[in-house]
Amino acid sequence: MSDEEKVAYVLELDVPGTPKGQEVEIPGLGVFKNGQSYDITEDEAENYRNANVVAETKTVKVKDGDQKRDVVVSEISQGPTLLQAFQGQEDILVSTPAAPKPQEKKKEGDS
Amino acid sequence: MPGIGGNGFVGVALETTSGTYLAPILYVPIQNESLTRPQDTIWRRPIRQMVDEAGAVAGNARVEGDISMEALENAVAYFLQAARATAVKAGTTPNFTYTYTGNTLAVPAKTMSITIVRNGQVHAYVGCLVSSFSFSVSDGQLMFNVSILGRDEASQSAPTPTWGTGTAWVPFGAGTYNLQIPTSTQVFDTDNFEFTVDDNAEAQYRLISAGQGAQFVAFGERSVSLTVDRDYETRADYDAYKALTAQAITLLATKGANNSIQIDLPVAIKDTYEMGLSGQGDLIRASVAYHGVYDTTTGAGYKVTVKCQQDIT
Repeated sequence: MSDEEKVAYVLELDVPGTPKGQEVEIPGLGVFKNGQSYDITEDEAENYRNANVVAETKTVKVKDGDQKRDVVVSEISQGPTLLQAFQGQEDILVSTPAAPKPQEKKKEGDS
Repeated sequence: MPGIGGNGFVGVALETTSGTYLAPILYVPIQNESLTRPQDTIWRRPIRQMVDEAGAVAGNARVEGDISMEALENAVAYFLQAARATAVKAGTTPNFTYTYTGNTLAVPAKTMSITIVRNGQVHAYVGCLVSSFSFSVSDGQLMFNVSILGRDEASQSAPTPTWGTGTAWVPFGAGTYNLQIPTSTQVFDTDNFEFTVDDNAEAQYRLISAGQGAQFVAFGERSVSLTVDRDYETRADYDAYKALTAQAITLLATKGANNSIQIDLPVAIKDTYEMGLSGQGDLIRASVAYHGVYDTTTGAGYKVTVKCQQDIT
């Protein structure tokens, strides 16, 4: 990860029954060692959503001559965010990186 | 919108309280599954000037079906925890040895929650046990099949799976087998190995105040069987069949010191022995079926030893 890439999430793995250091795969994100913590960049997080797209159907009205009729169309949308995907799970903990503390204003007269 | 099987997945967890759902601990790659929740609905046929069904009354329900998978030792060790077997664990992280020996319990020591996601829809089967299981070598690959019986099904929140990698998640293929007939004598004339343990489980229904699911699932009589195909070269094995001679049989499938599955039938007796002349160009082969009978030393008709990296608690 270059300095330019922004960290979107922090991923911590604690998969029960799997030894520390053993690799596990999260489809769309990559292979990670159990027991370790990883920074996930915005690009990686976006790739994860794209790899886990969901399809939904909805009914829309289309013009058919003078009348309108219902047709079913499917829509593809991005999958859940990492935060949503692993919400409530204890094996994979996803959090956003801690925001840097704002710097205190220097008092007048401080050197 | 319809979906396809490849997007689905199966996860399992050993339950703390039988019938109380637990989210998956282990996600298992499978070949196919057929878990259903049959319900014995009573279709009313009262005699009251009608010839149609008058309606439906709730009957008992259960979970049943098969899961077929590659014999991956981490998964095999997990499923056998819910079979009618005494599990003995040895080793420390990261390598463990589990020995499963058939026992005589009416209900299993542990039951499973099995979560199956089909087209994004979550089916959580609870109180599940392994009624029967089989190992087979087909076209060189070791496969594992379990027949599941459980108490009930409900929806749950969708889990997001993770998938194991490494040696324990690589299937056993050609060149990983050591078949011994009898045990300690490796043979090289055999294929189509299939070993089956059937504990004949049945769902048990009781009068309850809510729900239709089984109160528990009980095991019945156990049958242990093995079938193999061997080249037919001498009468010796056939004569042993006629004499009901018992012998120990072992299949060891191994990928390394810490990754293996060993199947032992301490007392195997041949049930059928067929070696017909089936065609001009056909090799003359013996199709042999064995029963695995009670062994006084192990106290059961079979033993399965699994070496893997899964820490099952």
